[in-house]
Amino acid sequence: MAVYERIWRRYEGRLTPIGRRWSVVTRYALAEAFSSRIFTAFYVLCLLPTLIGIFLVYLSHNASLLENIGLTREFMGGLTDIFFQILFSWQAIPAFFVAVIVAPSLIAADLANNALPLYLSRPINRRDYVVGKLAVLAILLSPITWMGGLLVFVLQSYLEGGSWWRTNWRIGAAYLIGHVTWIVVISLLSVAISAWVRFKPAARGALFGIIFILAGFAQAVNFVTRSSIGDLVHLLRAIFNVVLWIFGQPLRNDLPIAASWLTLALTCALSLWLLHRKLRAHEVVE
Amino acid sequence: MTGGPATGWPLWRRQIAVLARQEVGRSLLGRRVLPILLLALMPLGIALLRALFLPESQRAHPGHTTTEFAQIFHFFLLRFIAFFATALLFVKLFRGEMLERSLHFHLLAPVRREVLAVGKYVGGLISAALAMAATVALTWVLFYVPHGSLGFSYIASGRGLGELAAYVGITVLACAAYGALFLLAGLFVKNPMVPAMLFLGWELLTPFLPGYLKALSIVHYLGSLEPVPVSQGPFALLAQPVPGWLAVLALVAISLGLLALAAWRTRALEITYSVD
Amino acid sequence: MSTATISVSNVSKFYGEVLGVNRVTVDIPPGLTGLVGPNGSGKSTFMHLLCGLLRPTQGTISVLGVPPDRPEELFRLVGYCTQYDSFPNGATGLTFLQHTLALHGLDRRTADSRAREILDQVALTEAGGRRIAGYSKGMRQRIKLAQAICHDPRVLVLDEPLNGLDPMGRAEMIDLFKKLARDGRHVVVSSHILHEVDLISDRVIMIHGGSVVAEGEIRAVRGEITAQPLQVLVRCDRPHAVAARAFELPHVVEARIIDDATGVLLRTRDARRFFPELGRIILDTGVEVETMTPADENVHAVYDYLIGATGGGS
Repeated sequence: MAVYERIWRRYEGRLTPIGRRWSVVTRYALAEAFSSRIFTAFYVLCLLPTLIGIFLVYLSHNASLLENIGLTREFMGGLTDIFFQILFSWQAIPAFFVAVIVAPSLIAADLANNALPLYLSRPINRRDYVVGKLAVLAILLSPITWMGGLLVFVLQSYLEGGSWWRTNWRIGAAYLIGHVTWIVVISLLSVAISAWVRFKPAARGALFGIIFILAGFAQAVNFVTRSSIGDLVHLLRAIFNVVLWIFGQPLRNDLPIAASWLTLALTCALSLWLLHRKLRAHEVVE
Repeated sequence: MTGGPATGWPLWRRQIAVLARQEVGRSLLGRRVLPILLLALMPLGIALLRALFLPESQRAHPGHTTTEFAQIFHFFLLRFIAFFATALLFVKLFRGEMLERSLHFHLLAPVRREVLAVGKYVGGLISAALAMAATVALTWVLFYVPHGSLGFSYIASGRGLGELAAYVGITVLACAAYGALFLLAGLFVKNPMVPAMLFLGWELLTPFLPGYLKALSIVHYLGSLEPVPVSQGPFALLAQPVPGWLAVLALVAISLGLLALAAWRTRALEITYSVD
Repeated sequence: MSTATISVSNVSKFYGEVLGVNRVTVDIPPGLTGLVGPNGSGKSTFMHLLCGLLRPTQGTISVLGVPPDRPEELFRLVGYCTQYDSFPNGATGLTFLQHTLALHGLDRRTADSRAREILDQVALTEAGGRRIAGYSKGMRQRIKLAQAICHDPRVLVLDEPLNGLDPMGRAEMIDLFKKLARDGRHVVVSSHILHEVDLISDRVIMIHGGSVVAEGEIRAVRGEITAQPLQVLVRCDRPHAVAARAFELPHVVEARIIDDATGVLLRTRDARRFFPELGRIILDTGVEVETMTPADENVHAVYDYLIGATGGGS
C-alpha cells in the first residue's frame, strides 16, 4: 500500500505558444456558439446557398439530367456573372445573420459580467483578446462565404474546362476579395457594437439598427440632394459596389469606387477605435 | 415613518411623477442620450445637406418642399428614427434594468406594480416625445430656411403652423404607440429586439397589404393623419384612408391597451437575474 | 394571519424543474433571526419570497398580516437589503436614497433631509454626493443598508449585510441590528459567518437543500440533536486528572486535552447524569476550574451536525 501526498505542483506540460494564445479565446467562444442547437441548425442551413450553387453548376453541365427535367443548357444560359452575383448575395445575407447572432455574445457578455479584467490579468493582451474574438467570426463566416463560393467557382472551372477560369478570373477574385472584405467589415463592426452596447439583446438591435438606419439615411440624403452622396454611409451599397467593381460590372451609383472603399475603411477604423476605447481592464468612474 | 399622502390617487400621482422624472433624467441627461442624439441628428443632417445642395432655381419656389418633407417624414423619420428611438428608450425601462440588475430597487418600494409601469411609461414617453418632436420641428423648419423670406413666411403662416402641429402631433402619437409596444416587448421577451425587428418588417410591408391587414399596423393610422399624402409606390395596395379622429382614437386605444397589458404583466414580474 | 409575526406556511418555489425552497413552514417573531445555510441552500430564494420578488409556487406568506403581492402595503413595513451588488446607472448615494424616499410619498425637502440623516447613520456623509459606481465594496454595502432602513421599516430582511465591511463597520452594523431588534422589529439576517450569527441572533433558521432543517433558539435546537453527544469544555489546572476520571463514566464517549493543555473537551451522551458526576470528580480531584461551558451550543456546531460534513440530515 502506498501513501500519496496530495500537494500542489506547477504545471509542467506543454504551453500554448505566446503568439497563439489568442486561439484559446477563439476555441472557447466557438464551443459556446455551437452549444446552442438552434444556432447549429441555422449554421447548417447557411451552407444551403453553396450547396444549391454546386447543384446548379453540376446541373448545367449534365445534359442527361437537364433533359430529364425538360431543360436545355441554352435555357440555363450558361452560368454567367449574374448567377455568381446572386449567389454572392445569397451567401452574404446569412453571413450577416450569423454575425448578428454570434457577435453580441463575444464581448458584451464579458463586459456585462466583468470578465475582461480576468482575461487581461492573464498573459494575454487586448490585441490577442480582440483577434481571438474576431477569429470566431472569421472561422464561422468563411465556410459559408468565400470558401463555398470558391468551391462553386472551382467546380465550374473544372467542368467548363479549357481556359474558362482565365476568362472569368474576376468571379473568383470577387468571391475571395468581396467576401473577405465583408467578413472583416461585419466582424469588426459587430464586435465593436458588442463592446459598446454591453448587453446582448441591445447589441443585436444596435447592429440591425445601424445597418438599416444608415441605409434609410443614405436614401433620404440621396433623395434630398438628388445625388448619390448619401451612399457614403450606406454600408450594404458600399460592399456590393466593391463586388460589382471586381466583377467588372457597372456600379449602383455614380460615386467612384474609391468612395465605397473609403466607407468600408472608415467603418473598420471607427470600429477599431471603439474597441480601443471600450476594452480596458479597468473602469474610470467620475 | 410619517409624511406624504397615504394612499390612492394623490400618492399614485406623486409616485408616477417621481418615476417619470427619474426616467426623463436618465434618458435625456445621462449617457443614454447619446444614441438618441445620433438618431435625432440624422434628419437634421439631411435638412442641412438639402439646404446646401438645393439648386438656386428651386430656392424661390417652396411648394415642392412640402412634398419632400412629407416623404422624408413618412419614410425616414417615422419608420426609422422614431421607431428606433422609442425602441431604445422603452426597451430599457424594464428589460434594460433587468440586465443592469437594478430593477429590484423599484420592486422594493411601496409602489403598486401598475403604477410602476405607468410611471416608467410616462417618463419614457416624455423623453421620446421631447426628443422626437424637437427633431421633427427643427427638421421641418430647416427644410424651409433655404427659401429665405418665402420660407419664413410659410413657417409663420397658419397653414405652415398647422402642418408643423400635425407633424409634431403624429410624432407624439407614434412615440406613445411604439413606446407602449416596446415597453410590453421588454416585459414579455428576453430579447425584445427580435419582435421589434419583426414588427419593423411588418410596418415596412404595410403598403402592400390589404386593408384589413393594414389595420394591424401602427404606421397605417399615423399615415392617415399626415397633412400631405405620400405615395407608397406603384405596387402599394390602396385602401380607404382612416378618418383623422378615428386614427387618433385608434392610436390612443392601442397605446392604452398595450400599456394596460404591460401593467398587468408587471404584477407577475419576478426577479431572477441571470446571465444572458 | 397574525399581524405580529412573519408567517410562512408550506411554501415551495420551483424554478422550472429545480426546487428552490421545499415546503417551508416557519413563524418569525420579533427579534433578530439568523438565516443560515450553505451556498445554494435557498436562503436568498426564501428572502425573495418574503419580499415578493418571487411568487411561491405553492403555499402562503404573510408579513405582519400583509401578503407579499401587495407591495404598496408591504414595503411600508419591510426593508430589504439584497445580495445584488448593482445599482441604477449614474446614481449617487444621495440621489439613490432621495428617489427611494420620494417613492414612499415624501416631498422633496423631507426626502432630502431624511436621506442625509440616513447617510450619517451609515457613515457615508462625505461620499453621498459621489456616484455609487465609484464606491468601495464596503460603501456599496452601506448604501444598500441605508436604502433598506431609510423608511424606518418594522421588518428588516438583510441578505449577507456584513459582506465587504471592515471589522469596525461590522461591529457598528451589528450594534444597529441589535438595537432595531430590541425596538421590537423583526430583523432577519442571512450570513455565512456563523460565529457572527451566533453573536447577533436570538434565534436561527437553518436551511439546507431548500428545506428548513432547524429553527428556534440555538440552545433549544442543540438540545434536540440527541444523536450528537454534548460537548463540554472544562478549563482547569489539571485537565489530565479530569480526563482520567471522566473516562470512567460509562456515558462519556470522548475526553480530549485541548492544544494548549489548559482544558479538556468532554463528550457525553447523557447531559443529565454528566453534570452532577463531573461536579463530584472536580471535588474529589481538587482541581481548580476556571470555566465550564457547552462547546457546541452554537450555530457553528449545530450547522456542522445538521448540514456540514459531520452531519447532514440528522
